[in-house]
Amino acid sequence: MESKSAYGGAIGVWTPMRESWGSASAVTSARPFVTNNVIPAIWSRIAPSLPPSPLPRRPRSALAHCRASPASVSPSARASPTPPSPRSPPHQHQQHAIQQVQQLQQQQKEQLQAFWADQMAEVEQMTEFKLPNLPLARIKKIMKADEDVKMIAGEAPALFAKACEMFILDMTLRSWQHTEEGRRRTLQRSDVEAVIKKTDIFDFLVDIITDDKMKDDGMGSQAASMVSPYTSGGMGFSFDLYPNQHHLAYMWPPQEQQEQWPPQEQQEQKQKQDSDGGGQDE
Amino acid sequence: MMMMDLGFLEGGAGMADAGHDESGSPPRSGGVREQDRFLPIANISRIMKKAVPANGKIAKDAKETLQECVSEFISFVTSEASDKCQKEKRKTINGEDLLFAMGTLGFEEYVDPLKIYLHKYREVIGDSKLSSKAGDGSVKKDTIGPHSGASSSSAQGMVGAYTQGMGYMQPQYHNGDT
Repeated sequence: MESKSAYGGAIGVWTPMRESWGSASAVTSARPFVTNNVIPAIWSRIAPSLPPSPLPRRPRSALAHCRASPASVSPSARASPTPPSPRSPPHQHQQHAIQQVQQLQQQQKEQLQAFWADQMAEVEQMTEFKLPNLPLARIKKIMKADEDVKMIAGEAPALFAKACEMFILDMTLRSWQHTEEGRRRTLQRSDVEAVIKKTDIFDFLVDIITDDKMKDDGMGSQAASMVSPYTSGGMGFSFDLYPNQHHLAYMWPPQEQQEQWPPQEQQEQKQKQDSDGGGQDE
Repeated sequence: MMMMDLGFLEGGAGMADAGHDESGSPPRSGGVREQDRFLPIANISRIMKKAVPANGKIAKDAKETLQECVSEFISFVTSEASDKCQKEKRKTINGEDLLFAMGTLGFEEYVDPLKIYLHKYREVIGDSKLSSKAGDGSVKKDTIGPHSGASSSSAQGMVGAYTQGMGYMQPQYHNGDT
């Protein structure tokens, strides 16, 4: 590793990195946030020039995530001492991703809590008795499809009408959350399927979706939603291959490389500062 | 993944579906027919729209999937309630049985609002005789009336504006559908 690094330096790769350092330094001096603000700035600049239509949306959502993250990241950064430099970058990436996932889950949980609070308030504030817009006769027929069901009180279908309204709203809200995770605006069958798979109280519905051909698509959507917290495939790529810089530089696509360049420089600079401050050579 | 869904007139489609569902249910009381296995997709669609932002869309296959889910929910809870009635040697499933069943099956969050709802139902339509008549009326008008919602409302003998009074996530209400 060390010999390779020296060899790379001897070749002259060192000079471009110095120029990049200067640029990164300028960016740093302009803004108080070290890492988090650099990424959105780069993305916002790149977004207008990208020809494909789907791509411009990613920088925006990335910006949204980054705006939220500084508040949560800064305190932990200040509180914790500087970790060893070889482990520092992967650790930070992981922490960032984990925090984003936790934030998303917290928001979704709060949405559901607000929904149930609204339901309770709505029922309590009813001055007149109102039936949801669902046919009672049809509900009764569905209930009677079970041969064990003998007699049904008149209040049962009416109660079910309200229960079904809640069920539809509950399931639709959760499905829409999944739609938003995928950065889409159309709620699909695969969103409903994903909710059924990941929510315990909906286990009884699993048989409805196992017969569908959409199962694979549902899994795909789920996988996509799991990946979304990272926002940029390049970051994950960088995380995996960070220890070997030379190969990393060669394997990056041009755009990805351009997007990732400043953060890497930031990390390089951090390492340098750490070594200066600590007075230790690695 | 970016998926663009072609826009279609949901209102018109909803009305068409509603009409189809209504015409497909003759007054004869035979076995449970295919069309009787599900609630009308137009009603389900209107409720779903309340949980989605105004600029959101809902694919038809999502509505159909939820249509199946709702029927399964009714059967699931009814079966649990029926088991309890049999153990206690009672023949009639009532509101409490359904609430208890929902609690047992993990739908605890549903139980509290529904208890209040059931209480108010009994306040307004407490007479068992009236309830029985309402049930019969509902059956008849459900197969005749052009709008299932209206027939449900009129079957209960309620007078006044019929609206879904939920203000969650900016509900989008189409007057044409009412």
